[in-house]
Amino acid sequence: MTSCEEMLERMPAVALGEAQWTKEEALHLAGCVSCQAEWSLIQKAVAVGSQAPALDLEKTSAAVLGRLRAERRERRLRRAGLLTGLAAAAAVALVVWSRVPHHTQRTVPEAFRIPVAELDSLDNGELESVLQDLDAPLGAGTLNSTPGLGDLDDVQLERLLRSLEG
Amino acid sequence: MRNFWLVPLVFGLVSPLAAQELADDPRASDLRRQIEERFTARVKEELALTDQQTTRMKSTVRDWFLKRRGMEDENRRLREAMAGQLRPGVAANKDSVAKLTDAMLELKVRYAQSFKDEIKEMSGYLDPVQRAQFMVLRERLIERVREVREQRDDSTSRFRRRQQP
Amino acid sequence: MPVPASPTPPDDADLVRAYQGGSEGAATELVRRHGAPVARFLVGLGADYADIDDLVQETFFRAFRRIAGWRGDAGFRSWIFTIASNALKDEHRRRKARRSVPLEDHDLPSRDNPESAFAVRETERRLVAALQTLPRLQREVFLLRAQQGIEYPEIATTLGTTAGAARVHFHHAVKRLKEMIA
Repeated sequence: MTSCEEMLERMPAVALGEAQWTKEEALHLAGCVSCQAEWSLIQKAVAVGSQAPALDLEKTSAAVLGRLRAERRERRLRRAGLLTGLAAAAAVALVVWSRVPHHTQRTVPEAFRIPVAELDSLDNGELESVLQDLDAPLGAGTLNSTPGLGDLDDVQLERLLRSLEG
Repeated sequence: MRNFWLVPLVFGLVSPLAAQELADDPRASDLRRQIEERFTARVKEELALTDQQTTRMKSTVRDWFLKRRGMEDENRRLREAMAGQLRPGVAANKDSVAKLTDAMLELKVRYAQSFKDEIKEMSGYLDPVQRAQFMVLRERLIERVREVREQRDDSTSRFRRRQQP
Repeated sequence: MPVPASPTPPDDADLVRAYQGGSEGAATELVRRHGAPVARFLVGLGADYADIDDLVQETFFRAFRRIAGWRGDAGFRSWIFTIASNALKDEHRRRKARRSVPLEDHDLPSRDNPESAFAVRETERRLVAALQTLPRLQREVFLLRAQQGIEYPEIATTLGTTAGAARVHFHHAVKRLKEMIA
């Protein structure tokens, strides 16, 4: 016998025209008020999408590609400009570079890493456990086990921040 | 709503010996680095930080990290002193214990306040939603650290209870 | 480099590779395939109809800029959806910074907006408004599942959660939306 939960799982595919109700499912839907409400909701979700304005996708892709080309061109010009400037003012550039603090002369920028002092208190096994949880998708393990903060939307986050910052 | 200012207060509980061992262990250093790198990547993505925001955040978090590390060191010294006073078979000096207790409590308040001050400093370059997102992300990480610490403390207590005659 | 000829239409991975090899035609095909679903997804997230064109463009611009970031573990379309969601979020943030608008205001399609060229049925408008009250993750899971028909494992990979958690989020979203819209 089809359960309401199974019905809900089937609804998106049926609403999108990718599947059809079986006889049993159709019968269940006809007799279940809760499933009817959910079916109505899923159909509305699909319908919301269908109200989106028709896009001129050729124009969109042309605009996107245009922006990408412009950006690449700008990067090339900047590099060329820099080289020209250095070549033209070699003596001055040498003086300037010699005054620059050592760390800015590195070709690889120093990586930004947020230090977490609390990690100092953990042993290797515990650190590995925390690392595994970071690797796991959000929601797995215990990193998402406390509902509330992680589920707050932007408005609620803003209110929380205001209450804490005063 | 749960007062998550209490969460950092738990972090007074650092074993001095363990901390010293960890400071010298390359594997531990590597693990901490990996955790911090992945956490940072997540923060950068979730907050959609600009280069300027990243630069400023780098300075903020480094400064507050050093301050909190100093607080952790101070807390370790206080705990060692307290452990010295509370040794079995030794009469504790009540005045010293009271002063140490006050100092530890005051330190906990300063520690908790440091998170608030850090976030306030970020208001100079992060918008309210970004600041809240940062708080949530860090809260999650710290919560997980607290959980693994509690698991260790629980198993240590159980071990000690089993060892008792 | 032209899009490689093949007996069957190239899949997204083929097109991405071709684009990375320099084929702008491959990029155009990707926009053609995924542009409309991205637009629908943005509407579901509450984007203003007037902004859809720009947002879709911005989404694909960001996507092609960091195309190397798509590793193929989630579907290309799902990956684009997360970029679209972030683009919309950035746009909301920029608007909040430019003018004083209470944070409770959301940019919703408005039937009363004389600039809007499209009629929005009242029931669908209510759904979009109700979706705005859900936490972001729940909202996105609901749209990916109900509106786009994406399966839980792909939703999980896309949004950085687990399939089980995605399922729970979907069911919670349905429950809450049903109460609000009934």
